[in-house]
Amino acid sequence: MSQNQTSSDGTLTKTRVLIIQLARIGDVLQTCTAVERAKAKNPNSTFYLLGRKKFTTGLAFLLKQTFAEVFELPESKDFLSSEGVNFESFESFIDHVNTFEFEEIINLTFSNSASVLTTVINSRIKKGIYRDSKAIQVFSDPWTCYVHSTVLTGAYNLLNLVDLFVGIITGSISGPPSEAHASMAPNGKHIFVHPFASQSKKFWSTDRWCEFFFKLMRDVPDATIHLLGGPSEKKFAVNILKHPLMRSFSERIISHVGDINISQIPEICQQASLFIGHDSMIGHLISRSNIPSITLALGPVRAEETVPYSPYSLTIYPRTKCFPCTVEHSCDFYQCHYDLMVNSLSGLVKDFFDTSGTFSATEGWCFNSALDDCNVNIAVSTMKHGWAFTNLKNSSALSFDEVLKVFYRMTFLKIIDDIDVVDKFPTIRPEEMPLYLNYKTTLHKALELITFGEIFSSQILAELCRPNPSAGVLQPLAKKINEIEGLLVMFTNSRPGLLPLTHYITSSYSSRPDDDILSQANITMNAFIEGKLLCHILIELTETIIDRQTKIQPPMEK
Amino acid sequence: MKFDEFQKTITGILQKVKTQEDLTKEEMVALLLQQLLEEENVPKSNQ
Repeated sequence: MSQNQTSSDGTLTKTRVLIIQLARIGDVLQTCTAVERAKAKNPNSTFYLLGRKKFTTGLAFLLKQTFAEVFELPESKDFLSSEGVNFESFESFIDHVNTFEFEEIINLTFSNSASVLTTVINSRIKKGIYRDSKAIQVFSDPWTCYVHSTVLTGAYNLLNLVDLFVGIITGSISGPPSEAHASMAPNGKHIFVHPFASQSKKFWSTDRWCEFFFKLMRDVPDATIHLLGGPSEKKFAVNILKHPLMRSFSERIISHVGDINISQIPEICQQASLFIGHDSMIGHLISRSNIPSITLALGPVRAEETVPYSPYSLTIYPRTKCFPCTVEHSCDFYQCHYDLMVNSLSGLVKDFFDTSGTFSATEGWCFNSALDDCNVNIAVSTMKHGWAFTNLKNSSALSFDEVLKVFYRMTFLKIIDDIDVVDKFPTIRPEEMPLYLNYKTTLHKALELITFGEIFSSQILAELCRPNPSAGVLQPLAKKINEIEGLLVMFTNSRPGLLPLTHYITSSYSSRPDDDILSQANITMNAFIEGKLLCHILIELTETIIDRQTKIQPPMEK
Repeated sequence: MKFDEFQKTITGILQKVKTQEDLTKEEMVALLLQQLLEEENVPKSNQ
């Protein structure tokens, strides 16, 4: 972050930082958590927030504690009338924000409008995605480049969104470690449940939830269930309360759906011993109070990325081949909803009450080993490093894609943040050995291309440093760099596992804002040098995993 | 600004984006409003 300034009377003035978050209420909450962590690292910065009014108003009680001011962007239809477009009113909103003269703007939304908004607000330093004078998307900070290469292009990210925001804001995800208490000693057996989400793909049907509630009521006879939700979810809550399976337990289910506003949720949940829900704003809000939570990730939800940011958080998700899908993906039969078994969830809840909710600083949420062979993945986070370290707890062997995620976390954290992740080496599925051999070969080929990129870009740089650089020398070299970029893209299209690597290299230099030609050449060369390092680490990790597997299962002699 | 006038302005801006010409601050603000309208799915009849 930028250095603080000293005013004329010698006092230190705080750096004014504007955070742009135009996404939904859950993202605003995660932004709030990230800014609280950033403030702890940079106490001399004052943070402001610009968000959509419909997503910030309900959180005003929380945002006012974190931000000096919240600029609420009205809905775009409010700038329309029967007369036409009230463009002046829209312009005056932007002008008002600009009167604050921010030293830094950080865009944490990966949408077209947010990148243009970041462009029209004046500031010397900009982070996240914005536009150049020709409205082309640009970015220059490494954490935005990471998000662009892993989060936006596939499902290869294992880091929590809150940490990614902290990385973009402060340049590093690390912070003071926080540890979980050994035991939560449940405060009665009040289980708060938010059984809904923003899209049908993301939440279980009423029947499934009622099946779970029925089992839970029998397994934990003194449990009380509290349903949470907003006014628009009232109709779903009525279906649950009227369900035939719930008839004998009606006095043990209390519905708060539609009856309380967001600001009342933390207070009403003070008596909660456990929260269960899908990926939704309520889960993020409750996790701020360190209440143990179980999140059911379904449909397009990326379990490790969007789980509540807490050492008391556990996420359960199915092993369905197409999970996680994308928001745009249409699906007639939600296979992942069926693959996430009711028994798996009820087993976890029963285990939680049987063990009084046990947590360890190094392992996070501890659960009974009897759950090891269930049909779902269970991801647990710890905060021992000062960021959310999420790992699968119940899988003895990881799939190829899961191993790649672990590898990419190790390599990118080393390259971007100089963090050495001390982690148990993953155990692979023996039948997937050919995938690792193929990946190793592919990495070697990519390394060859990247090395050529480094050579050509260093030749460009050397030519530019001469007193009279020759266009005749520079043009063929620049053409070669373009060819290498084209080959890397082509290469990656047939091998999606390489995407984070190649995309990180190419976007490191091609998505930069306007720089002079010398800086551009320098950045390009550094991108290839960094790419080489990434490639070497990935090759070493892949070779180690192949060697270990070969020692366990030597290849059969002919 | 009338709807058709705004639409005409946006068409001009999008053409400049296509041909990679520099945009003025005012054009960038207009582009922003258009994108917000698009993202929030404001009915075309309103535009």
